[in-house]
Amino acid sequence: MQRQANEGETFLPDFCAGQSVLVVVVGAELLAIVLTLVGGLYDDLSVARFARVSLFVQWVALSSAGVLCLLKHWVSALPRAWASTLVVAVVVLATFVFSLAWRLALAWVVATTDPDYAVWDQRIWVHVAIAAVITGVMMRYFYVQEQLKRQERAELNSRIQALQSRIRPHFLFNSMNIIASLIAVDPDTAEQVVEDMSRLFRASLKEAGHEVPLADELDLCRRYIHIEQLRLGDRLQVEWHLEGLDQHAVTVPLLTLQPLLENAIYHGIQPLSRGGTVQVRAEVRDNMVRLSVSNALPEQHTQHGGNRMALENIRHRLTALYGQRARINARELDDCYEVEIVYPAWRG
Amino acid sequence: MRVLVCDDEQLARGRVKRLAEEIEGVTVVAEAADGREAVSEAQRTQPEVVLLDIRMPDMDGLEAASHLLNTERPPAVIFCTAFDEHALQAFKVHAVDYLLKPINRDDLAAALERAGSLNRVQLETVKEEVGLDEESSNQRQHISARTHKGLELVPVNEIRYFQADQKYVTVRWPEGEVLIDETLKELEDEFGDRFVRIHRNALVALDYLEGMELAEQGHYQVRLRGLDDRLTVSRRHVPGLRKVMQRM
Repeated sequence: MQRQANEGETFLPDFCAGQSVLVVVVGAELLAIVLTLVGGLYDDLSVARFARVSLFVQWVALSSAGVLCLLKHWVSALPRAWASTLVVAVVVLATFVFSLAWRLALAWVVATTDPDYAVWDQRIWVHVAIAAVITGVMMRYFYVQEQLKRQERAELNSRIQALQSRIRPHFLFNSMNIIASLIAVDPDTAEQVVEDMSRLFRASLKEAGHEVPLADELDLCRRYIHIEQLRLGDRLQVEWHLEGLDQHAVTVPLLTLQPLLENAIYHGIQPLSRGGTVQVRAEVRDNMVRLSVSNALPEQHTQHGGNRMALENIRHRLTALYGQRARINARELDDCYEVEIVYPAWRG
Repeated sequence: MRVLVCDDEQLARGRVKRLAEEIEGVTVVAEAADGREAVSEAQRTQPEVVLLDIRMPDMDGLEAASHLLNTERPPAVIFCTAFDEHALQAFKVHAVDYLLKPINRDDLAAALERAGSLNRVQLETVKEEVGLDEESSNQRQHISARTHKGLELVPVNEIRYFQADQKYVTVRWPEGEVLIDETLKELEDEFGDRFVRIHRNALVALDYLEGMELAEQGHYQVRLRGLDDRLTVSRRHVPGLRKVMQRM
C-alpha cells in the first residue's frame, strides 16, 4: 500500500487506465446533462440538443484525456501547480479547437443558405470559459483528495511507528538495573548487556514496516533473552525449534517475534517462583510462515491488559503489511499459553 | 540499622545489599527472594527496615507488606520498583516510601534515614488503587495469623473454610487451624468468588466442596474434601448452595 503511494507522487489520475476513462466519460456526460438543462431555461428541451451537447463534451473530454495519457510521464514530473495549469490548458485548447472546427463544419454546411453566418462566434468563447472553470474545479478536487490520502497515509505510518517503538519501560529500567548491578561484579557481562540493549533499541527505531531476514530477528530475540536470563536466572529456560528452516530466506517484519517473547516472560515466567520454559517455533508450511511462542501458565492468571495490547499491535502491523492473509492466534492449552503468527512467505 | 532486602532477582538483590552496606551503621541482616520468604525472614531477624520489591512471584510486595504489618513489631517498609506507573502514583499520593530501580545510593541513604512506619490505612488504599487500575485481582494469596510461633502464613488456595466464633474467625486448612482478627463479611467481600456462605458463621471453599447431606438431626451439612469435619448449612442457605453445587 505504502509503496504504491510512494512511487507515483502525482496527484492526477492515470488517464491511460480504463477506470479513469470511464470516470471521464461519466463526468463528461453529467456535464452534458447539466448544460442541456441550463439550456432548457431559455429554450425548449430537446433530445437533439442533448445529443449534440453530449457529442461535443465527450469529444473534448476524451481527446483531452488521450492527450494527457500521451503526456503522462512528462506531466507527472511537473510540480503540482504547473501540472494543473497544463491540464487546464490542454482542455481549454481542445475545447477551442473543436468549437472552431464545429463552427467551420457548420459554415461549410450552411454557407449556401445563410449569408450572415460568421465562423467567429461568441459561443466559442463561452465554451472555452466553461471548460476552463470546470477543469479548474476538477483540479482542485484532485488536489484536495490527494491531500486527504496523504494525511491518511501519514497517520497510518505514525501508528506503525508508535506501535513498533513500544519497548516496555519495564524492560528499559530492569535492564538499566542489571547493568548497574553488574558493573561492579562482572564488567564484561555488563558491557555485553549494553551492546545487546543498543541493538534492540536501534531495531525499535528502524523505519516502520521494515522486513528483515528471520535470522536477524532471531538474533535480536537471543540478545533479548540473554538480558532476561541475567535478570531471572535459572527461572527462565528457552527452547528453540527451528529445524529445517532457511533463516536467511524467510523474512519477517522487524520486532514481531521479540514482543511475543517479552509477553511470555512478563506474564508467563516471571510470576512463577519455579520459573518455566518458553518454546519458540518457526516453520514454513503451504507458503505461509508460522511463528509461535508458548509459555507455561501461572496457576492464577488473568488475561493481562498489556498482553492484549501487544497482540493488537502485532495484528495491526501484520495487516498493514500483508492484508487479510496474515493472522495472529492466541490460545490457552491445558498448562500453557501459545501465540501463533501466520503470514505469507512471499508478498503479493 | 538492621535491613532486610527482598527482590526476586538475584543481581538486583546483590546490588541493593552492596549499596546499603556502604552506608554507615547499616547491616543487611537477611535477603529474601519473594514475599513469603521476606515475611518469614523478617520474623526471624527482626529488621527495622524492609526494602521490598513490588513485583515478585507467589507473593508480591504489597501483600508481603500487609503481612509484615501484622507482626508484633512491624518494620518500616520501603518499596522498590523499576517501573510501576500505578503503584508510583499511589505511593506519591499516600506518602508511602519508595525507591526507583536502579537505586541511587544517595536516595537509598535518605530513604533509610527517614524510613517511617507504614500504616494499614495507607497500605490498604494503595493496594486498592493499584488493584483497580491493573484489572488484576486484589485478593491476597495468603492469610496471615499471629500465633504463639509468630506470624503464620496460610495459602488461601489451601483453606477449607472460615468459621466465625464470638470475636475471632477460625481459618481451617489441612495443617491445622489459626485464628484471625477479621470479619466473615470482609473475607466474603475479598474472596467471594472462591468461598461460599453456608451459614451465618461459615464460608467454605468452593474448590473443596464435596457434597451436601442430610444429618440425623434433620439439618443439612456439607462434606469437604480431605477433611472429616461436617459443617452445618443453615436452612436459609440451602437453596443457594444447591444452585452453586449444580453449576459445578
